[in-house]
Amino acid sequence: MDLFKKSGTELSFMLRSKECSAREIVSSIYSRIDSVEEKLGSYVTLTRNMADKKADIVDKKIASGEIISPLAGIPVGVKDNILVKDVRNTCSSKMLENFVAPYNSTVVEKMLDQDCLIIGKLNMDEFAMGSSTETSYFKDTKNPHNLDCVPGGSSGGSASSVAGYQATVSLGSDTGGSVRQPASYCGIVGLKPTYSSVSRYGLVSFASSLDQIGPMGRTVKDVHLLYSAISGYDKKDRTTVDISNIPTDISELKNLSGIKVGIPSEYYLTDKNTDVIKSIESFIKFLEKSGAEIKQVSLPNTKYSIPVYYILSSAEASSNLARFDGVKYGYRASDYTNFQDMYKKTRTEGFGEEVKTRIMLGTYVLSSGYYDAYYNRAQSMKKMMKQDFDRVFEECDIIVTPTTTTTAFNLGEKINAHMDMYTSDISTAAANITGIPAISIPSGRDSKGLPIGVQIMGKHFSEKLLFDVANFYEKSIDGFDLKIKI
Amino acid sequence: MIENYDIVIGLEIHAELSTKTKIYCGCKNEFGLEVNTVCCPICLGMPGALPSLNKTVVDYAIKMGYALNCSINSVSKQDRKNYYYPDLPKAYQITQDEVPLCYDGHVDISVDGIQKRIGVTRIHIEEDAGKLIHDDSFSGTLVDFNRCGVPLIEIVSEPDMRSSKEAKSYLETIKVILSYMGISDCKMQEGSLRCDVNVSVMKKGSTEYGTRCEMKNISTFSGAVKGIEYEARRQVDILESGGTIIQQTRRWDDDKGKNFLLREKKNADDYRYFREPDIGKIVVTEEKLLDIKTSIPELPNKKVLRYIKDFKLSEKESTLIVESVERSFLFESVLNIGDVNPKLVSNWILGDILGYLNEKSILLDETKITPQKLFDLINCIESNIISTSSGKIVLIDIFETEKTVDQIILERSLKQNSDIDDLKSVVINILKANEKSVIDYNNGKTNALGFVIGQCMKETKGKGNPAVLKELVLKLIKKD
Amino acid sequence: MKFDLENIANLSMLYPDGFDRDKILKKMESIIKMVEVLPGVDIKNSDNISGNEVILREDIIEPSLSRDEVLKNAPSVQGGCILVSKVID
Repeated sequence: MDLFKKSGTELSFMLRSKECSAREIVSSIYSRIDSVEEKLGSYVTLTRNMADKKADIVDKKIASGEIISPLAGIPVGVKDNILVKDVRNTCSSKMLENFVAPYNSTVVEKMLDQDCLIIGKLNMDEFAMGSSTETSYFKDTKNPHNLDCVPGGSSGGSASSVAGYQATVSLGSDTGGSVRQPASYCGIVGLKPTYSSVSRYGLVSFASSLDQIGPMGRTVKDVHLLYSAISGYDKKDRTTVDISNIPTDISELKNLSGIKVGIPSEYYLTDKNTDVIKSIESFIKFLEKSGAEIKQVSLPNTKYSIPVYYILSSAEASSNLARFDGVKYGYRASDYTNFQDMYKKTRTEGFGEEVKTRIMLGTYVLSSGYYDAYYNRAQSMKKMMKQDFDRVFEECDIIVTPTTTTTAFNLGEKINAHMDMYTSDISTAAANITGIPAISIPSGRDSKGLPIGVQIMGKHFSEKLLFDVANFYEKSIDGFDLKIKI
Repeated sequence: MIENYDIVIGLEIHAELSTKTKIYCGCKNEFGLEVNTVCCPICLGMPGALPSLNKTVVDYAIKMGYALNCSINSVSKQDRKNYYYPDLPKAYQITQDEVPLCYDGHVDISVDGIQKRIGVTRIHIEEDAGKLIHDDSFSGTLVDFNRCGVPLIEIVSEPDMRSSKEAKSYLETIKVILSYMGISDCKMQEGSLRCDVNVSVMKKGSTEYGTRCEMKNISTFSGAVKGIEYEARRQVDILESGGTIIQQTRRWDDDKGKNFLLREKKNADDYRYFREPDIGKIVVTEEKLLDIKTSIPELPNKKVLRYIKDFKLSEKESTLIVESVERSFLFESVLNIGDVNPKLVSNWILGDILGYLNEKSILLDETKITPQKLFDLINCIESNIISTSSGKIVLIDIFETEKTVDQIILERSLKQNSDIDDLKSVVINILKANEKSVIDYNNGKTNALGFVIGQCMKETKGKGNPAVLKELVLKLIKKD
Repeated sequence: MKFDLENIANLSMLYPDGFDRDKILKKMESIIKMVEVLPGVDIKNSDNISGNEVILREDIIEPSLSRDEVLKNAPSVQGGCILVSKVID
């Protein structure tokens, strides 16, 4: 029985009906990891002991007739910037190569309360800065659909592990598209929740005002299940809000009548003949056929998302990553003459080039004399972008765009062509800047057989509608095309 | 030379707040614990940890704001001040930059009996840093993070002070107000009250401020006085020898009585302030503000005036009592117990009680005195149960034991003898034995009287009621 | 525009070497170039403070970490403290 191939909802049902045990699920997942990890490189650290212990607890609960929670016994992979107590947390950086988490992040605490099986910590771009997982200090991660291609990033390991059946669901983090873009490249589902709906306590901060932890899975229902488990007010992250009154359960829609879909012209300026645009257009046609009302809308300030994203995220990152100084934890350089020298050597040696570039960019935009020209201007633009979206959401319920304008590229192809790399967040960053939820689901493949993703955005806290529409589509096509070559 | 200059002084006072927990986490806010035992992921700046702002910190800061006649920003925010130092775990301090909780206030100080109003620019909340321990017994510096995240308010004054005396008075005034509010321990020796001083000088009659220098690390009142005088002299010396003042940050060394250059202000001080994204806006409702306003106790300057008016104390006496919360509490509590002359209470507190405390160098609340015991003591003296000199003996026991005044008087048999027949026979015997004094007295040498009364007191071993004895002596000494 | 790479690196507590300076400068300049297309929007510093209101924490003591936990990840420890090279200010 290939338990690793099952979805979370299937496994949960099998556990309850005693068709399998949690121990069997663990064994199946790790034997899958054993056979493909060398090729995929999804994981930085495996936590088999922890998963085994949890599986025993689940099996005991089932044996004693106890009601288990929806995620009990489900294998979850966790991005290596989300703290799991007593497990190494590297952020894929030399700086934290040997850092052992002293506490659990809130999302992990919540998952453990539900008796999830934490399988391991997933590879990522260093400190979540990158779009291909190539900035990881440890290794490259490969796209399960084509081992020559990147899985996307920064949550590359989170996407490749799920697409490659090394985890049933996973957690990523999304600052400018880091959940949705890899989900799109790897042909799975990824959600960037509304800012403030999921606690960031225990997520190593990149850009505090943009970061959100997001669930990833092979089905909409699995992503929904994980989202329901991790979201909600947390007194340890006081930027979260109480959403207990907002319904999130998926409704099985019969059609999409009454749903107004905005198509923003600004996102379709690229060559209209690409496989991606064709795929999105057929998705829009599907929505229309199903009864949705399609409207052309305009988000004029969207074109500024990339500069705004880079200013805000780099500025916050320069401050958030200042604590990595070799004093309290993490890497410390070995030869130095005084404490400033120790700081500088530690940081120069401990951080990779991408991270250093962004720290310096952030320092620059905050430094005296430049603050107004860059940081303050970006803050004002952020307000204007919010107004754009507010206006569009007065006449639409959801907005549909491609998640990425292209499909997964080859390893090494773009790491040096920095501009391409930096603009690959173009469709996704606006949701982080404005704080709205956005989901990426597979909508087809390009001529090379690589997955294409469609992004559905909604108003603040409208996750339920995004799930409903995505789930309706998934069911209508009899499930996503999840075939991989390994 | 210095007489030709005006000194211009502004103060930034940092006061640690006496909340139960730290500003952003639930760690205990307590001084003097073992190193690195009151720390958690939040105050240690561990990756992923986030701040949770303590409600009481906001309340205390606003309370101080009202005490210093400030306006309150009902919506404010927190900002990050970015700099690297081993005692600052996040490499940024969470503070308030553009929008402080309180702004635009003032406080009245008094120097040599003259009142002066000092402007208060702002009060904001922020976190304290850890402590560096330097010792020659090892090669490096040790870091203790216990103090990280201890809540601070920073009180920034206008450059309104013109002498070290005024600065000292301002510091003392702020300290007393903090004490009355009960929001800070104000223990300078523990570092819970510290200040940075900005000093500049300008030629007398000039209206243009000179270039200022900031002096850090002042932790005693006398240090503030010496530091300001040293810095003013340094600046005047430079100007008089034809030099110019360069804006600097200097460090006061109390032991050496000198200050030293820390750094010159240029871009070294680029703190890259920006809004703290982990803390939402701080909103204080009208209702809350009113609550805080009404919770403010009588302020010390009002108290001084009331003591003068209601209790007929001198300004000096009332100031001396009010400058200590414990003294003032003892004073008012004694008066609240029953009918007692306020002047007598004040005399006892400022006389023998203060004398005892100074001699032992302890604080009032480190003794066993209670308002009730002091009330009883004064009463016993007033109603002639014991003599004033016995009272002083009783006071020592009041300080050092749990015994009641009655018990002490009984155990030490200090009860005064006022029995007329008893004392009459004593007086008759003494007069008989001192015939010469009797003759002297009757010849007009009235100072003989004192000697006779003294002899009577000696005979009664100090227990004879001196007033009764005096009356008897006067009656019996006269020769018809 | 020109970067003062030395100053920016210094403020960032980094040495401006050990990497390809030209590459990093080009990277930063290309990002800054993108930024410069931002329209000159009206900037008022403290007009209104945006975002949600913070829910303040009650002043109640919670357990701290043990000292062992505090020092577990420290590169160098002595006498219950973290050891750094001599700090002279």
